[in-house]
Amino acid sequence: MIKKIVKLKVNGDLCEVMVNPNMTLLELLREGLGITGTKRGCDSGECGTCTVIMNGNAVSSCLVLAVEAEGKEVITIEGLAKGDELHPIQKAFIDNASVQCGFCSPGMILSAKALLDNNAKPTETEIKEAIAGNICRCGGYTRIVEAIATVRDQGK
Amino acid sequence: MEENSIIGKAVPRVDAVEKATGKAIYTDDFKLAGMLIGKIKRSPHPHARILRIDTSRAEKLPGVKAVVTGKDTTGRKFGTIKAYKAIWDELPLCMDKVRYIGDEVAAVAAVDEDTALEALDLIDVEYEELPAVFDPLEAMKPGAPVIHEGFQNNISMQVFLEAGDIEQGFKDSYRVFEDRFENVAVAHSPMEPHTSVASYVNGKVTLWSSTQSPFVVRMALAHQLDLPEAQVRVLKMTVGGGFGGKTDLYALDVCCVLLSQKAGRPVKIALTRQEEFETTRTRHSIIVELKTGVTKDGIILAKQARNILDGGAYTGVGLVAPYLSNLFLTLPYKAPNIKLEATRVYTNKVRGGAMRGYGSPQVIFAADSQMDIIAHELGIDPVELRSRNAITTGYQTSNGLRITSSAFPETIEKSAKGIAWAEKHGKMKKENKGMGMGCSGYIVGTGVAGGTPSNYSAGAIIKLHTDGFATLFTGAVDIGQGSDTVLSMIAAEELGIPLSKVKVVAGDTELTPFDLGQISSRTTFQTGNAVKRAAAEAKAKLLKVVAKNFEISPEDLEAKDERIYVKGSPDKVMAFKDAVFACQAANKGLEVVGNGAFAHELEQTIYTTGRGNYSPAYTFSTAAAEVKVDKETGEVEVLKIHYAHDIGKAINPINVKGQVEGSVQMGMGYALFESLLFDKGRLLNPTLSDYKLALTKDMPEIGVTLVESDDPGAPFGAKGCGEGTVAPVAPSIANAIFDAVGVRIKSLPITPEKILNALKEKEKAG
Amino acid sequence: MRLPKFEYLQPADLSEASAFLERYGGEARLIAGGTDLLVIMKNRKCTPKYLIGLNQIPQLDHISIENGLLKIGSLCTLRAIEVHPVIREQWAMLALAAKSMATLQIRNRGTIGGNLCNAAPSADTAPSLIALGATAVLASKKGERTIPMEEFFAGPGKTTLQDGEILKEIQVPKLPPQSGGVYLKHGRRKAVDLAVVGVAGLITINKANNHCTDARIVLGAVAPIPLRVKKAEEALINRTIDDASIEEAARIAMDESRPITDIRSSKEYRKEMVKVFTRRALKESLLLAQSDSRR
Repeated sequence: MIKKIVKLKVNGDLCEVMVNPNMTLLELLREGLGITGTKRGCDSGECGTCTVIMNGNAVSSCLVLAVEAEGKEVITIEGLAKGDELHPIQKAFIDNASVQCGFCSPGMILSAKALLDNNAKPTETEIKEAIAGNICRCGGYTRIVEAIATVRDQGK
Repeated sequence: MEENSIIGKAVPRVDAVEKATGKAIYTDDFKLAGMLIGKIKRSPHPHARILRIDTSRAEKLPGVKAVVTGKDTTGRKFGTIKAYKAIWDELPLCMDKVRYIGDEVAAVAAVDEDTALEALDLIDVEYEELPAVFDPLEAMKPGAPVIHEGFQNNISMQVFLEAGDIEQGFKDSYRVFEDRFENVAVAHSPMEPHTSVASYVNGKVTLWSSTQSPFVVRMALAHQLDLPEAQVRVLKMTVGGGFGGKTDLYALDVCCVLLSQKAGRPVKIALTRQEEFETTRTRHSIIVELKTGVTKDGIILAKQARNILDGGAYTGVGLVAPYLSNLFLTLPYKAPNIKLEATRVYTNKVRGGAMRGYGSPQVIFAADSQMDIIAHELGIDPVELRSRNAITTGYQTSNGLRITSSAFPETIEKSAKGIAWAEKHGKMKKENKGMGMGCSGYIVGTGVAGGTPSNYSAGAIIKLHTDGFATLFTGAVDIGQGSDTVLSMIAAEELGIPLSKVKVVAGDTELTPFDLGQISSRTTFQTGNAVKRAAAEAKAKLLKVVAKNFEISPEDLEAKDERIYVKGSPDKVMAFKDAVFACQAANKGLEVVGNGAFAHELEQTIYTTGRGNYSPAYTFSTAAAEVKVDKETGEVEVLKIHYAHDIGKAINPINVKGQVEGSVQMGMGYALFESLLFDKGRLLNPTLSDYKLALTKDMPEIGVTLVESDDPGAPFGAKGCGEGTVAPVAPSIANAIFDAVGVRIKSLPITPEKILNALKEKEKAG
Repeated sequence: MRLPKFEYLQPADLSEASAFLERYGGEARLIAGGTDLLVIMKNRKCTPKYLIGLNQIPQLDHISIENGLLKIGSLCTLRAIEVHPVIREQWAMLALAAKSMATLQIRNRGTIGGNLCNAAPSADTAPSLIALGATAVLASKKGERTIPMEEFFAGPGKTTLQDGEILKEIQVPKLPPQSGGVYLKHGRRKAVDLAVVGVAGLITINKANNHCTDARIVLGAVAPIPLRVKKAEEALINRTIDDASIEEAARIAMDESRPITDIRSSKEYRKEMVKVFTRRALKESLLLAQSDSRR
């Protein structure tokens, strides 16, 4: 396979990674850059644990070819907190007991961020639609929806 | 009674920050220098003899560092729980036969995943296909293909539980109800697939794994490898959900080790989602034939059951399921005369293991659906019927379970109230809406310890530091249920220091005391007790030194708010950290350590007749559901569930709510849309798009009431939650459907097709 | 699961893409959003040696309205269609069909072209497009040709695209006044599911007397290709739309459907659902047509 160099922004930093064509963005992040907050739950776009925000949209990184991430701006879970200062969504998840085993949390939090970045006052239905593609097997989603609603109400 | 500082407070989990920031390290995030990627070659046939395996082409592929097959193993079979060695029936890599599609035949380790996958294709295996059997009833018939030699009629286990006089019980009954219930196998489907990393260096094995039970895995792994346990270290990483599917030794763990031994480098094997569905464990599908005799007032006099469990190709931890299928029928109602039988049968499919509820969702769906049938036939309100039969504090069941605390009647009352039962039950049929109730009881672990000294199942060590912190060493694993937090809270409360000053080291067979693992909701009660004892012992050492210092008796001292002070004289005080320093100084620098352990003594009769007190305490749960049925499509919408759980005491109430809500999600999926679909042993839906899990839009409004019965044997009165809470959900939904549209579905999942067909039958019957 | 090995080609425009297609023939596949293709590749059901990336080709993802004609570039994402204010207002059934698909993450990458060209019998955008009378613009070295959406599908997974042809644009005419249309999708769960049955219904009436001047009924997931049930439409056209005629149309649709039994559903249930959802789609379309304020 002909390797290519992909240049993209990850959490604000310009990165250059050598990739094979059959590498996905998920693999670029986890193996190429060694940042493992984005998870591999099914590798088929069905679970949401690999969700990242690419050019403002929540996408399943396991279904984006690394070569097609060229020139894009990607935000992963690692890009939310600033040092010890947590992002309001992270804080709400923690305070609302929305994090159990935590495997769905990075994807879930990013889906929430993508929603709130585009729509600061979503209805409960819109919140549920935004996370409809993120599976949580531990909980009942109630705490997660409440956490996102809390952030909405805080108006941040 | 004194108020607790931390127990009972809704505090954030101690590991939430690292999980929410993506910093928590799950096993697939873990990497070692020189680590290779392993992959497993699996059988495409449900039942076949292995004639020949040729790995030469794979070995020659550049980048392949090791290939192993059955001949590289010790040839020892493995299973779970040493007491049941007779049914250890599994090899890590098959040698003579394969017994289900997915059975492990060979494994490779290579420099990257692409190469490992390519190598798999280069391994040639020649099979002679054998007739296979997929249905437990067929498998038990004479002439059925023999799956494991020495197991007649393909029965892997058969257990009986009897008490009282069943014949007399039925004779005395006003009416006898006989019903048959069925369900399908479902999958744990944790979001994190099974993953292990093994390293073999200088005769020592280290296994990092996504596991709920490092000690159980170590025992089996050491035996499998013929190594002393001290030469095998198993430690868990952050675990992304288990639900019982990560409690025993897996072939993939052994393959990791074998490959590492051969390659001289660490090896990681991560299952794909498809392998997760096809080759791990399932919830046993159980046929439940239930016969119950009642008085005219609906009081249960006799209960007889025949449970047939579809065991799949191997046993493993699935061996406990038949015991528990019988056991859970003796809760939550009084039943003076019982005759229960459970048979676990081999079939050529992926095996049944332990899944959240471990038999109770299956048998309680049957038993609590039947309760509603009885109520309807006798003209008694279903809530009233349950209250009449409810087990209360101090009761001893006919099979010897000692109920040290039960707030079950209160859970029935609160659940009914929460759903507005009295106002709405039976009154919403015009809108095709209905209400139903489901109830169950559960254990808080058992005394089956698996061969440790004096049957203890949990140890805890607490070390105090001179900066006021404490480290808790526990073998318990936080799989998402919050045990790190709950155990830390118990330690913090006992020591009188803030939660933030308790650090946890968990789940490492080298560093932490023994723990049986995260199963059967045992952690809060059993490990919690061990932790409380360890903290108390450490605290006693401090109090002794401070007492000497103040020239009083230790009984006059109290530890709270990071201080040790004289009761009643808060100004006579020593800071906690100073007390630790003083204690070390007074004892020639010895670390201040507290040691605790918990054992539930199991009567020997449990192993012979099955009778005896199985668990140190029991929890009770009631779910009440409101549903709406679309009579044109058969779809069921669960509108509301009000759930009341007798938890003893909620150590962290918001944590418990999360557990209950998760149980509703799992119970609802079990009731309505989860099912593993097999065709001649092939799993047709091994993907998350075709194996339907509940998503946020499917969830009903959930109300949770925690009822506290303050169990005397439990740490701070807290019994537990998490496993038993799944069972009541499916019957509550089935019963609500009956209330709404008058059809009784006795098989899970309750699909729209089943409802439509039942409605048609009902219409024909007129 | 790893993707199999392949080379990634980046054409600068459609004609270069088309040239690659011709050159590599069966060894190459076009990739747009990749949300379907990459999954089947990971499952090794399809192992092309070359992937021809369309994502970087400019101007294939436009949405424009010219003289009342909606033009959607084939590389338009499903999400873009779902949220476009004019599509939501004037071609609502198409926006809702897009919205009903998969997950938000998939819709942010998956394209309408991909959905149509994968030609699954359950493709959610197809029934609405056919009901709306949409056409497909196909581009190749030889130039461009336009065909009705109804003629785009040949069988499960098969389109009528010729060698070297690439779907460039979909064109959707305006709904006539006094029209209403919906797409109803019946799945196993409230969200994120393939259709067990999909029904697109579109009715044009004379509001004064509920006299039907046009009707389109297109079924998804119950035949090898999206199925337009002309017989059922004829039961309504030039008749009064009421419960009785709707019921008859629904029954005909059920009889004409050819569902199979698969892991999602049985054919008997699907047939029954065709009747139920055709009836519901027609009733909803009628309400929308009655409230359509345009002349």
